[in-house]
Amino acid sequence: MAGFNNTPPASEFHRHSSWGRTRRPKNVNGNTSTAQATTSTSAPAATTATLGYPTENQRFLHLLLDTGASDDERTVTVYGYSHAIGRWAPLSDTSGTTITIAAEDVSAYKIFAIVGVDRVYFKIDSALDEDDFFYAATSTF
Amino acid sequence: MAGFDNTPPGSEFRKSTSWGRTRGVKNATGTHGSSLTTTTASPADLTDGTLGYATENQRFMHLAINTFPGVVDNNAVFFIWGYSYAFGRWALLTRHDSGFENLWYTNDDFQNRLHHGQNTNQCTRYVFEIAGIDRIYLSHGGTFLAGTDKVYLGFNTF
Repeated sequence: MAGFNNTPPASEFHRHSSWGRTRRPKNVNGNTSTAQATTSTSAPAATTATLGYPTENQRFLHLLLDTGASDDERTVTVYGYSHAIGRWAPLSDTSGTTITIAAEDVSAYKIFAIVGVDRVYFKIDSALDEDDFFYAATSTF
Repeated sequence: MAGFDNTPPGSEFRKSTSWGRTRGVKNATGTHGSSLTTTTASPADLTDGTLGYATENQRFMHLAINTFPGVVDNNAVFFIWGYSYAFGRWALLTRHDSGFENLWYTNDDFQNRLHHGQNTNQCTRYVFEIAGIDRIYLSHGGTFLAGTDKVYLGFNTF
């Protein structure tokens, strides 16, 4: 009959997605991404809320830095931004530890409790080479 | 009567299974009480997400080591590698001021080794907050005796 068919409307199919609260670490570039996180040798402009990456208000920040093949020494310092505060600042975790990761001819994986900071920004002391790797992800428990 | 019996259908019996999020520690091998086999080798391919053991995205890792099961006192070091699918790469868990505090080795700049010393025959347990890392791979060094010494690995969540 004209006007009728057996195909349900698209709205009938709901695909769940999560804004954070994932046990599995979620890459800061998005749900299924395995891309590296972008670093900058400059600090973020103090009040620009669009810089860096959203954390989806998760609890833990996972960082991986690998300079194992390059004979490089690199240090990444993490800045944090909360919309409630409106300013970027070097970020410390809940125990007061400054959030940094460094590697010299080695790989390193560290986890920090950031308890819902809205955005993170990665400042590096010297730009990564093509055989260096830096990743960031977030998770929650 | 034909077509009827007293046997309930299989679908009536649901066996709950969990992908992690267990309070009880779940052995990484899938069998309670089973130990692991470790080697001195690093992950053969730093991008191979099938190596090591699945954590089932749990929060805590329990590592129990016994390098003194008999009459020989062995010290050993362990390297603990983490892999998250979000990164696609293995890296060494590394101590910092508020994480992986069990990873400690004297005068080591990298602080990515667990120094296990033991002079009684009691097993030692180390707990790490891994916050959902997908997979864990262990390698050993020192005087670990793969034939007699034991390593156990499990995960849980609260």
